[in-house]
Amino acid sequence: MPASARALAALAPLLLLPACAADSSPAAEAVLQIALPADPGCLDPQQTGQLAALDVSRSLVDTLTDQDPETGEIVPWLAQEFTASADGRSFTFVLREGVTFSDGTPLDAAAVKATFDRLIKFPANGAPAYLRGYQGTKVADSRNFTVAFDAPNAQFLQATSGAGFGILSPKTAAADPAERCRGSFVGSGPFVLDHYTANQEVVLKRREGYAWPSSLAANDGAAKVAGARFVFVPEAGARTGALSSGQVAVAQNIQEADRARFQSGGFQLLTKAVPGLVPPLSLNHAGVLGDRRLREALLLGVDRQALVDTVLGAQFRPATSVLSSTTPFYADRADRLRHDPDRAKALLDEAGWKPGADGIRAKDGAPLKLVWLIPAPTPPVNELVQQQLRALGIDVELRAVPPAKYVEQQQKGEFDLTAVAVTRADPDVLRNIFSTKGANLWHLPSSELDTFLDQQASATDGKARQEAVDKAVTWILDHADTVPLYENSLVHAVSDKVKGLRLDASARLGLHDVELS
Amino acid sequence: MSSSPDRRAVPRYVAGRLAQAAVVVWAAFTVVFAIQRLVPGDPVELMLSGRNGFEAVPPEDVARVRAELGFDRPVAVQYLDAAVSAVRGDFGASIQTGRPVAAMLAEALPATLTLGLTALALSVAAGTLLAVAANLPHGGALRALPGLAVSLPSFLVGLVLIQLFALRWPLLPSLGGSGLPGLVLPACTLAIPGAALVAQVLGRSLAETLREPYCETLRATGASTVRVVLRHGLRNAAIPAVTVAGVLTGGLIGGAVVVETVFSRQGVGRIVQFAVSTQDLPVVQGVVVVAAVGFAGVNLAVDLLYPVLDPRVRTVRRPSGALRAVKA
Repeated sequence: MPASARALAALAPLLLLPACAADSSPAAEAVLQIALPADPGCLDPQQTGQLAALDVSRSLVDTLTDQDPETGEIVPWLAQEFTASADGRSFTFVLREGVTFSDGTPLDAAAVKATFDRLIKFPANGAPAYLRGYQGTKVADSRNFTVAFDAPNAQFLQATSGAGFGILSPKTAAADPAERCRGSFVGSGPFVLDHYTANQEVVLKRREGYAWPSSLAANDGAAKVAGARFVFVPEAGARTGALSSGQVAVAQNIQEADRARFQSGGFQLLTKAVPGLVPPLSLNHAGVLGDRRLREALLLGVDRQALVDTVLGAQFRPATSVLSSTTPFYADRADRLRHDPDRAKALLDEAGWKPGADGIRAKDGAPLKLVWLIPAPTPPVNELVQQQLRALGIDVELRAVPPAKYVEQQQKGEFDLTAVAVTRADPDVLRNIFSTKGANLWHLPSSELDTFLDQQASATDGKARQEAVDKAVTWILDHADTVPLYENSLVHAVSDKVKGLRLDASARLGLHDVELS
Repeated sequence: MSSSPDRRAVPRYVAGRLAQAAVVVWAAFTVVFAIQRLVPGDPVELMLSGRNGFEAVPPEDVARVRAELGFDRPVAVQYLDAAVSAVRGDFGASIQTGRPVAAMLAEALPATLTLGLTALALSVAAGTLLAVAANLPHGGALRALPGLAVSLPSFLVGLVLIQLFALRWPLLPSLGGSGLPGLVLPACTLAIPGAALVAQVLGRSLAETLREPYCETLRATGASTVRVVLRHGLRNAAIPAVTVAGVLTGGLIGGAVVVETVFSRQGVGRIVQFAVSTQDLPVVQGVVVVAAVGFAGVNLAVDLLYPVLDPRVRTVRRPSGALRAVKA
């Protein structure tokens, strides 16, 4: 080879460089900027169910299955096939081929086993709770494995679609939990962690060569944006300001007052009703609310439409069941959640609570006072509920306490009312909250309800599960065991420059299809 | 007018002040330890439950994690252990995140120090300017300004600055604040109450000094007001203002909580706010000790500055008690 040709050959890579750079348009190199309201403190989806954490980690991990946000159906992702045994106690999966973690190791059945074996050892709330009764994962070969439980477990397939069940590289499955909180867990997702600065930002960058998205994805290959930057902006005004000034392209959790200005003029609202148990008045049956007539008076005494019209805004809806309408196996029970103050008052009279001079009802000289325990700060909607109940003659004290105190008083049962909602696109949330075999924070007596809840958990076909869920919901409403209030919605404001931003079935951000213009 | 102070007086003075500072730090550590143990609530239960939307945690899991973190030991043992470790600069690990507190502080301190020192410098500069201006002829109208500024809440100032300089005229970023442009608005927000305080105290002190006979004498000899204020009055009036600057430093930590939140900056203020609300004992403990050391250090520096500024102070602590300095 003549010297000049050698020199040319040596230069060739250099000559190619500008060509490569010209290929990728500026938009493809763009980073999606997202303002989140809070730093979750821990990013590991196995250790935290916090929404902000899952919005980040959802892009770092892939799951065995995905859930169709429209139908609630469980569809393939990392597992190309999955079947439940006839007794509902074991689940067999076949992994797709060619998937690797971002550390280069292959995603195989052993990695799934390592992930689940570690998950079950974390404290049993959040994602680890969905693995209760886990007997182990049996690896047949690198792609085939079976997960077994000690009892039928109808909710398990849905659980495998959540970020908490994201499959982790065996090395990080065994890593220190605190380090995993800082983001040092390795998944197979379309993005990898670039850095996490506490209280400031999490920056993700695209995983090159990613080619195994969910069967629901529109994009078969690597993410279209170069990366994503989540900035933590706790102040609502600063969040909307950052969006309107173009410093971020997506702002989460937009307050009612700001929604109108982001509905047009270069922005749109991305709204999704949160699946799961709707925000309720959770009732402590151990105190004065042990009287069913009183609980029924609360159920009928709340004007849900007024909550939406006056405080929450058009993106929210009055509750029509214990479950939100985006939860699989939901059925409309609006007939049981009507507003009937006259009947409510009659029930209170019947229970012996007579109106006093100040309008507050009393029985045997004791005023009808309910303590509503709230992790501070108090949302405005609580004050409206308080006024509505005041009109019936019930004195509600809004007791806002610091979160630490809230947890303690909640566990000790030092409340009449509180609000515990659960986000999950599966009706098993009913069992989490209402089964007397669980924490039973509401001091419910054990009853047939437990049987219905166990039946929905063990049902092997959809019809049987629907029947059991319906029975459980009917029982809960018949006995006024809770007072569903409204369907929660997540409201994100998004710049028109962002295309393809999705919310998955659990209302978490999906960035894989996003394009920026 | 030079005096020859007792050569042992200065080291003794410094040693005494250092001992005082050590007591302040120890007291802060102990009080925080006690308060955190006395308030209701279980930080471990809160961590486990809070991470999952206040979902209940099985008691055996809470007990296991408590034991892992050493919270099941007798309080006295926990206290001694924490104290011995703290002396070595080890504050343990955060309950919420599991990270070593020292590492969290090391990551956050530079941001907060940059913000705090910039704000302090701005406070002193702006406060001094305002105080001087208010004491010059026709400056009387400015005297109302510090009172107004001191009463403005920081979060409001921050939001107004964002509205004006980041949104209406997009000159500066309102988020994250990396680099110099990101520092301007937060530092100004944090500096405003401090500047007002310096202006108030220095302004009043300056006004008093200017009424002293020697100033009148100076003016009678034909010196202009500007010259009297700058050459003579300012130095004599500085002592109360320096004291205030010491106190300001303590206030900066509190101010940082608000400013860092409004401007979405990382820093010690954010850490402390989250740690207090989640009863993250090791973190609160670490921040308090670091803040106490910083505060004691600044006050020590202020105390050592007095003798430099005012010769009279050098003699006051002399055992003889004799006032030997001669007034100018």
